[in-house]
Amino acid sequence: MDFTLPKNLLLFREMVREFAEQEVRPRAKQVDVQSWPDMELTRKLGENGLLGVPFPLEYGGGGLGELGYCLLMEVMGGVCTSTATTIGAHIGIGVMSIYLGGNEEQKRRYMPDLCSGRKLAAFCLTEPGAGSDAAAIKTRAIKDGSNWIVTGNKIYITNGPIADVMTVLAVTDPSLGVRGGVTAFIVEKDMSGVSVGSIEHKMGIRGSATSEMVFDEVVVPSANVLGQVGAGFVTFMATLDAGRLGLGAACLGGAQAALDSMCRYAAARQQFGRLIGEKQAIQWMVADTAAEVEALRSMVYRTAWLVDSHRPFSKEAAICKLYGSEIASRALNKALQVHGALGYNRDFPLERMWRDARIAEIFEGTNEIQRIVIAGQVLRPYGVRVQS
Amino acid sequence: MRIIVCLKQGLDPKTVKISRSREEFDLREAMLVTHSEDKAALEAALRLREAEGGEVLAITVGRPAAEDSAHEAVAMGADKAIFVPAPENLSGRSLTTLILAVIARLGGADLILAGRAPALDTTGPLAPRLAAELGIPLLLDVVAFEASASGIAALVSRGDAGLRIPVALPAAAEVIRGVDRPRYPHPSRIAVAWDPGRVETWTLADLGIAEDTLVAETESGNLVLGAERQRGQTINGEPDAVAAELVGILRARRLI
Repeated sequence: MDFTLPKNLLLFREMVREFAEQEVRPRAKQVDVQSWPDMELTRKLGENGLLGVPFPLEYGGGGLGELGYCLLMEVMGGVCTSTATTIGAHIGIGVMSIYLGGNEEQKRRYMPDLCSGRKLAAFCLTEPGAGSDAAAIKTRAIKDGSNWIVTGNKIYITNGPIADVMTVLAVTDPSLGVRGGVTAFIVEKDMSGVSVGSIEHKMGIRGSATSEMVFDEVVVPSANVLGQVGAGFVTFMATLDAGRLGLGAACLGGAQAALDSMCRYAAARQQFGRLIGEKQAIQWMVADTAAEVEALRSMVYRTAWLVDSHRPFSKEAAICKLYGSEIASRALNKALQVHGALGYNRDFPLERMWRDARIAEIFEGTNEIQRIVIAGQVLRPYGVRVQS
Repeated sequence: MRIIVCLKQGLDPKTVKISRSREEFDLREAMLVTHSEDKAALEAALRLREAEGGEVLAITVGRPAAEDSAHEAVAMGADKAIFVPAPENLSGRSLTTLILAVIARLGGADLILAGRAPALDTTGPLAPRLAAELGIPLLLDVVAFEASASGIAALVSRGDAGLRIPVALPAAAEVIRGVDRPRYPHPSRIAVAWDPGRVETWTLADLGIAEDTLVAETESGNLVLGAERQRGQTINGEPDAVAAELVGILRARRLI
């Protein structure tokens, strides 16, 4: 077993760290306050190859695989969760759905512009009546000659207001159910009938853009059916499997940043004539967080290795998302406690990071759904069927 | 046009600490990085290639870890890099001999660039030595090059202002950091920077140089440390006296 990162990924991590310090950290507070992404930053992310990191070079990607993507998300997650969310929605589920489900022509048509950031992607699954129960979607696509007419509303779409290309899940044959009756489409924002609905006002990750997306009799050419008619649900579920790992990596970054912050403060703040880091109450919070961060890092890197070596990873990715989101929330909660009133202050980044972390327990499949995914796989060999 | 850029590795100053008790550098967390002014030289070379065409070749010499700088140069955009494993702490003269041998084996160059030497580097400036040995013009304090129909010009920093100086090729130049930061290595190039053929390793034997002819630089002595920086100061006493003393200190330091 060799746990050292390859040299090219070490260089990549250094590159991302430098980029994050130079370009992302100075904007982290501002994007939160303005509740909107910094589009100049998004342009720089694309220009520097950070919006296509895991995908093969032949499609305009960075060719650095899932481990490269996880390193990117780990660094970004520790500096600005909003930016990590914008990247994650673009790479981890938006472009990923085209990469996993698209045919060769579609990958060559869309991925180079998406990987370079000339265009941004969003993944449109959730609906007012279909969140965790993704199979309950109502968006409908009806065949009309060589086109499909797509009609429906999608909500909580990360990158929705800034996306140029969206993958949209719609029912194409209600009689066939989700496996066979649901199809994914590549929809462009300029297609007639596509509009941005209400903008979400969120508790955290305010520097990422989230909205409702309205599809009103959008005429989508058959060439934009993602992969095969009827294969949409499988493609979307496979995409979410992959996306969860990137989210776990971003949580790792957030938890590490919380640990770093509490250690720095514990080594500087004096009370009762001693550094608070010399007191056991603080040491235990540091130790518990350090142990969880270490475990999470091993899990995330190993799961990335599973993906890159084409082994099954669905259960492990769900564990990374479940455990990662809970660790990040716990770590930030402890870091805030160590900082006392200073941590609660909006002038200090912990308050923002604490708000940002909470969403990871909810989006890309709530943690309850992750437990269903994990339990289903763990209990399957015992003949137990886990019901949603 | 062929542009050769010489890259040196050094300790990242941000990671070097000073141990006062042992009067030496504490290098336990020190990291080796490509010297920042050499990266500026590479950036100037890459921009000139983008404007004028040609090729950019990077050369790095030294301990095994120095090979990383060669790969980084490829990741930033160099067409190829040459790494020469060599003993550590070579003198400036020996380093010059080695690099001249590499340039000769490459078949010469139109422009040879090196960054201004790092503060703690005792080998001295490289570009002037190379220019002198090759008998070619030397430009100092260059921040960038420009290409036009009339040829190539160097932008030379002179404090707040600058000079545009026509360059007669072949030439050597010492580059300093300008306003623009060197580009980040691009992920798609990082992915292939360790592929075979991107970095060639040339041994001293390949260059026809016997190791015992190379000379080490002068051994460095103990650190001489200045007064320890005070990280804060407590002023005790009655409020009026404390305020007056504080104002006095701030005035003396020209902070108010």
